[in-house]
Amino acid sequence: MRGATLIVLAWNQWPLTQRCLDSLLDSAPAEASILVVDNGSTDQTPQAIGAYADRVRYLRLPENLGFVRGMNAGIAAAPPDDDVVLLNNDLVFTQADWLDRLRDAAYAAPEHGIVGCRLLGGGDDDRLFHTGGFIEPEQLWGQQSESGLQELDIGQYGRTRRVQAVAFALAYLRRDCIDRIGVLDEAFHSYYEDTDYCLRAAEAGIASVVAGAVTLRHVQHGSTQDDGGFRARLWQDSRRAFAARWQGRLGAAYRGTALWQGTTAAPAAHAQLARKLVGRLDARGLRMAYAPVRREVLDAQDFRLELAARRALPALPDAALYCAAEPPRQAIAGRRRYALAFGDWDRVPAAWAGHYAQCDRLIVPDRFQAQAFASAGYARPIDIVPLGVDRDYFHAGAQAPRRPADRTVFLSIVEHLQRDAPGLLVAAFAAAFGADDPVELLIHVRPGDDDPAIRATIERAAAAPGAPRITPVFGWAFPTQQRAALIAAADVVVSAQRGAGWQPLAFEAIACGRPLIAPAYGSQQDLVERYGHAVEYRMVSDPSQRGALWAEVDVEALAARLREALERRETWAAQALAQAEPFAAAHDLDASADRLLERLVDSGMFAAPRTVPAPFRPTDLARPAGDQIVVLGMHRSGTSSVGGLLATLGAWPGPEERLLRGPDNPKGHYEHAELHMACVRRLAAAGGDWRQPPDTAQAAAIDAFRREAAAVLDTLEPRRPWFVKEPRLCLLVRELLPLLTRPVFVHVVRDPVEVAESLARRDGMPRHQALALWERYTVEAFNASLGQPRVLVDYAALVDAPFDTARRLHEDLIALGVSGLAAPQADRVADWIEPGLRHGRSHPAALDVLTPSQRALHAAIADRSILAERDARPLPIARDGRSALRAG
Amino acid sequence: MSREAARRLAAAARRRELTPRQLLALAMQHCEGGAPLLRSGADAAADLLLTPPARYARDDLPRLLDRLWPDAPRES
Repeated sequence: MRGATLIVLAWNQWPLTQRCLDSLLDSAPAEASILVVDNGSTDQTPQAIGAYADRVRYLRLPENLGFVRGMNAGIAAAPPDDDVVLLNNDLVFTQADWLDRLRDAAYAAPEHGIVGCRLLGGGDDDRLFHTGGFIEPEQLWGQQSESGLQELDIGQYGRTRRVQAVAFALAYLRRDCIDRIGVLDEAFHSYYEDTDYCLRAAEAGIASVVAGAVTLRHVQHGSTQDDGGFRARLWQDSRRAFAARWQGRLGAAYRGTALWQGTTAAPAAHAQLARKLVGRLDARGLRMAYAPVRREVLDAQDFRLELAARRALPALPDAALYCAAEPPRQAIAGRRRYALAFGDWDRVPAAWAGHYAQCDRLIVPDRFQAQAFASAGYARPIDIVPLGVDRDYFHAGAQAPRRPADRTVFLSIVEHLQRDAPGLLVAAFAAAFGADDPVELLIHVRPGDDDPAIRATIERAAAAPGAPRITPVFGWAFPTQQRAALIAAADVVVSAQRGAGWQPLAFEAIACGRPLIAPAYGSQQDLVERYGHAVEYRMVSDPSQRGALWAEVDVEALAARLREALERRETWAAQALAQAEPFAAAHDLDASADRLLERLVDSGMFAAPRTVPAPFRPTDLARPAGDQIVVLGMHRSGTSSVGGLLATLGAWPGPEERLLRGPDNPKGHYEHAELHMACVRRLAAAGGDWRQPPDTAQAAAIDAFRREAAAVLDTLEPRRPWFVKEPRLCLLVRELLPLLTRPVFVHVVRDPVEVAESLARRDGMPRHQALALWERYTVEAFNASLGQPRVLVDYAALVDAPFDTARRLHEDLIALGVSGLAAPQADRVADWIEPGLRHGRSHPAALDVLTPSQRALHAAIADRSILAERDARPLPIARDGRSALRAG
Repeated sequence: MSREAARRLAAAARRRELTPRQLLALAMQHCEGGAPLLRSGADAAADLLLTPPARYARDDLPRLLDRLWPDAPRES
């Protein structure tokens, strides 16, 4: 059975190595193989390591060969089928299941090859030093996070996500990645070798990902400190080697130049768009420059934005995008001119139509804004690009530094006295609650020209006799990435804003799983109606914009909503948490960036995108399969028949006494009883069963299943070729991929209507449920085997022509490299497969009951094109409207 | 310094009960203390003052909540 070898590279600094090993042995699974590669240490390492001899292999190199050659020596010493995990000796393993979570990420998709994790600083440093990085092609400063900052850990980047590069302080390398691109390049001694490796992998279609579920501690440069400038020289040498190979290629990947003319200061919504989208567009192949429309100071919150601001502007960039609160007074400087705009009223001021008329295209976030511009007489093309939320920061797992336990905290963020209506907000809060109520209104006032007036308004309300607790926060301008922590510190987010403009707070609150109280008006209308708690309002004139209307909340209605929030706190909280993830998935800022990119490049001003290599698939290696066969198929699809057939070919299902038999299949299921029970327990632990497969599972349930399954597979290994068969594996086999060595998947398929009829007879299952279940099992099974050697057996063909089908299966398996199989014998096959086994046959017209997606799946199976698919299929939508979470 | 900048500087100083010169001096001290500016001298200080928000630090939020809710449980 395949394992993972953990390679710890050490060079002196024994106390670091010792601490690393102690924490590693506490956290790594007992079956993990640990290899310490000693780069010629001259301290007590060679002697002291002896105390760990029972758990740790030790490889001593004659001298310090550097990180790259040391790690390569470790990879060479690992078992040839093992995955490897490269580990610095200055890591501290503070998470028990880190290895399993890395494996989950490594095998979540066939093209994943390199997996890193979130790395905190050493000791009690709560800054994140690594969350997956990138390198800019001009100065070649490798960044360890998307923002380039060492951000305070608030739970950001908790998902598994693709990155340009991971730091090889910790890197899980899948064996097929090493087989495809080789080991680390010894042109590098230390430094830049990790980015080089990830870029080489990317050119082979192999993705680098960060497993957000893993967070470890890394004592920065603990392994090479106190070296008298040695490290600096290594860095310079490696940088030169890296530049020679990659600098030109990275720079050439840009498709053209785009200028963002906007603000990073105020108003907050426009500033947020610059902060969030300039970097994303740059990462998508536009060489972004940034120019503020008013004087401002960049505040080092985002490396890509700073880089864009420092770049010399071309005289006429390929495109320019204007995004500020005021319309452009001067020409937008680009060969194609765009504006991303929104206003606060039902109709933007008439003058705006003229100012924005210079744009080749106006981009707005929603239909409301498109209408607001059209109503003002704007007659040029308007595109809608919905603006979403940064899911990496704003999610239900965002952590608050502190959170009061004795009161309900309402949070609001205001910036403009009139637009954000803090006066109405505090009036409603004072009307809703008294001094003794367990509530607090926390109002964060963003610095700006309205500070003094807002302050006076709030302090007056807070000082009134009997007023509830109202806490204004002035003069604090924490980094935007910490706003998620501020939202997480609150129980409810509330807005009384009059303005119709797009505001990130509403999106962020919902994505964080906090109930939102707001008027359903303007750019927030759909959002509040669907996900929030709407407050009645009336249309009033904005005194500063003649003839323009905006929304003024009804104070009594807002007060009623606030009281309701307190009274129904638990219910509201549960609802908000349940909708957070689906909402964020449907309103993803990365999707906004994709759409914006499409708009910018469809002008024809930009070069075609660089050809992206086809995603790597393990089958691309053309290595013979191992002799491990996994039979996958929906219940009642004939998997038992195929299992028996494989047994007649000499594949081993395990000892006879371990195999299940049952009244519904008296000839035997060829299911290993312990594997069967492991599957049953795994589904139950996640709150489901074979009829109602759960969408997600606790990590502990996956780990327990993997351990139980590993024990079964260990018993099979001595007698290859072997096979396992259990219909539930359709749902679960992905979790076993790290344990299997070049497995072959045998998909057993049957007419879905026949499957449904069989389930109706045996289990009384309604047909629509059976068909939905067939679709779920089948899609999950083919997604799990994507890119792996796989064959397909049609149950109808097996019953109609048993020997021909057996012969074809045998030939297919031999062709894939399975060894040790016997040729099928007609009499043995005939003994095993009887036509009566097929209990029901459907009429072709019966397929009309399939949904469109079921029909498409059935067609892809019928013509076998599904075997050649290179992309995962989306999981079907459940009848209750929930979309299954795992795909690809 | 432009007339617009001077006007806004005067307003910012008034809100802080300082003279424009005092505020400028404080801002320059702030610049020299490590604020990431691309410009230098009085212009940079004026930029700093005229740009809300003017103060960032990576750990501001925890300190803010420590101050606001000293008795509330820590979550992270």
